[in-house]
Amino acid sequence: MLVTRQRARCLLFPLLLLAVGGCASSGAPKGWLPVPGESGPDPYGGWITIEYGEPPNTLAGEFLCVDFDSLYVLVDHAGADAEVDCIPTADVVEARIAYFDAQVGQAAAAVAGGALASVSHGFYVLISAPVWLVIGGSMAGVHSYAPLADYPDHDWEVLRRFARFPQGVPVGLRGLGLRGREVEPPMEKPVRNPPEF
Amino acid sequence: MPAPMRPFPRIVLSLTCVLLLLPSGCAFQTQQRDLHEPDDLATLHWLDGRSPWLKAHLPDGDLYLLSTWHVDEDRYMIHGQGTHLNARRDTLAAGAFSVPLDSITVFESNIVQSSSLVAGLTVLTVGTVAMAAFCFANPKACFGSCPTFYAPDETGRPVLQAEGFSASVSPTLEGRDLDALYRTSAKGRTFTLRMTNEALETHVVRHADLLVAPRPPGGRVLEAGDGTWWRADELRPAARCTGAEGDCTALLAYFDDCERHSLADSVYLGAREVLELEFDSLPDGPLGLVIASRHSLLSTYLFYQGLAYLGENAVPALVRAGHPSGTLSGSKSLGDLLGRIEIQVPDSSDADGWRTVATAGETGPLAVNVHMRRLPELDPADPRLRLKLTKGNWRLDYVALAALAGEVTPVRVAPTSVLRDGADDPEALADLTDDDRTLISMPGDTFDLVYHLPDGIDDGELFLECGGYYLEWMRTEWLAEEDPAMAALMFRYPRQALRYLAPAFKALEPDMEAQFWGSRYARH
Repeated sequence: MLVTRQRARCLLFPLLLLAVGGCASSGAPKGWLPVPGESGPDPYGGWITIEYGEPPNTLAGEFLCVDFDSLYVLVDHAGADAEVDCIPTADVVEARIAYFDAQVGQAAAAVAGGALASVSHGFYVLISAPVWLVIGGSMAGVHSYAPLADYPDHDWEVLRRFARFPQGVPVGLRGLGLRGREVEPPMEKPVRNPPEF
Repeated sequence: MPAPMRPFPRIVLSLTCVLLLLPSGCAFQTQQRDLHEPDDLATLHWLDGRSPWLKAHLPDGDLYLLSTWHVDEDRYMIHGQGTHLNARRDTLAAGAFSVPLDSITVFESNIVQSSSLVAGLTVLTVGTVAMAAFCFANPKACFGSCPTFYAPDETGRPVLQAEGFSASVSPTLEGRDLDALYRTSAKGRTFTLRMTNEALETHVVRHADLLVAPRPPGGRVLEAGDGTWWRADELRPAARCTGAEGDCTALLAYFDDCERHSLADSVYLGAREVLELEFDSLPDGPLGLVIASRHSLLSTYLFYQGLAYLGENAVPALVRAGHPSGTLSGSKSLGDLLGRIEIQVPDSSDADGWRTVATAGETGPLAVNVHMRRLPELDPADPRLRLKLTKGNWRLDYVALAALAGEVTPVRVAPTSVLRDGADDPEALADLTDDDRTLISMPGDTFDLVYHLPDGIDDGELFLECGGYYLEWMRTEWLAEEDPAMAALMFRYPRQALRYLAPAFKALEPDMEAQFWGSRYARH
């Protein structure tokens, strides 16, 4: 099918909307966040990314707890040597907490698949594919924000529910030897013909 | 040589994509996390069955993950099944627990819900499948056209004024088409005509010139179909118009988009009907009959059905279309059988008392075409006329007698500039003004043709003469209907084809017009 410049522009615009204006990032390492339904029994806190101090520094890790003036984060979550970091809440410029995996990649794939399926509409594809990309892309974008909660949009009293210890700081927190969530390493690609030594 | 594979049906592609989407679509969930005070017993009861797990957080960081629970208000305890974890999240115990409520700092609930994305994707998916099914089942109701021309009417609203060379469906059928731009007029020195391609077609336009003639006060200028233009000082609608359905006088008295039409015959699509026109009196002098009409979708359906039956042979068949008829000797083509609108005058010497003196009508279901045909001298004592036309093939908007006051010669005006998407396009202008070149227009293209009108014509009657041809894009769905026997029937035995296809067309006819216009691809 011949793609004229103007038609290409028409198709490109919603694609750009989808790509640029669209989806929010949780900041969590891949595979760290549980998918919805599984995070019910999940005993850990959400993933928090904090910008604090002047000049701004960034700290990220498992959100442990918050008390009246401090924020506690478990850094280096994957090993036994995880460390509890404490930041004064007064120093926090902004923060984002993600507490489940919205599966944004699958949502984008579903939208792209729908747009692909509209090829079956023949000439109508010029209408239905942009509808898929614009409406589906917008909804996927909205969905990507569902697991996120931001400071200062919400205060810490609201945000504490996403911590491992929403009840507050346990006694002797630093001495508890906390461990982070263990994330399964990504599977290595199988080697079709392993070399012989 | 192995037989070529059938094209992969697009509806199968659509359904495959949708089926692949469904599992992932259903998996899009969100969860709402809330904290509850231990003494909020009503909420704890309410959460039972809503939150799949209840987390009981203790002051030392320990956690009970409960999958089932109930609150014992008398003993102020919560009983449940689950797991007891320490602050490190090591499992301390699993099984049944009874925990005093006053030892719990806070409860945490997580209610899992389907994301609104699921509803949105479901709606889009249902729409996609429905649209695919519609296009698969009824591809011949999808919009088809030829170059369409828009100009403002008296109120300044852009109105479809003409469609160019509708019958020129292949290079061998390249032709010229003259259309009256009846619902606009030349006011001022500049006139802009918008040319669009709103269908899956390639348009090859050789020229698009205006013909401008001064309009008489209160009258119009009309072309007679023979290359002559006439000044009409008076237009007189019929006093009574009668068809098989009864009186249709009001529908034909004004050019107002209110059209008279009928349904095709259910047995033979070429069956004819008659409209009786009766005038109170005849104007003096030479007369013409003005007919504003357009095709219904019958001819569009037959054309697309023919292409579908031809399948992969459609292209060579269209190439041959410009050559002598392939119908059996002495028989008429499909187009001949559907025919044009016959204008008949009373003639006692004829067997049925009527004689056909002219025909009018033009291929195309989009724009209403205005034609005038000169009439022989009529008997003032018998001011009647008759229109004979194929049932269900025409939509009539306006019929009137024209009192012809003399011949006029219009001035030909070529475009002086062409705008493509609002930007000046000298190449497109050269394409339209050099006879050796053509302007190629693809689906979605829009050109604004700008004309400088001649001095001395302040209120001009405008006609558009355009030349070229267009190529219909073959739809994959049509290839699935390839049927050489039916193609042979349509093109060699068209009379039988019009009988054979009648039930299929009648099944589509009620909704075809709405579907056709609903499927147009227009950007203005």
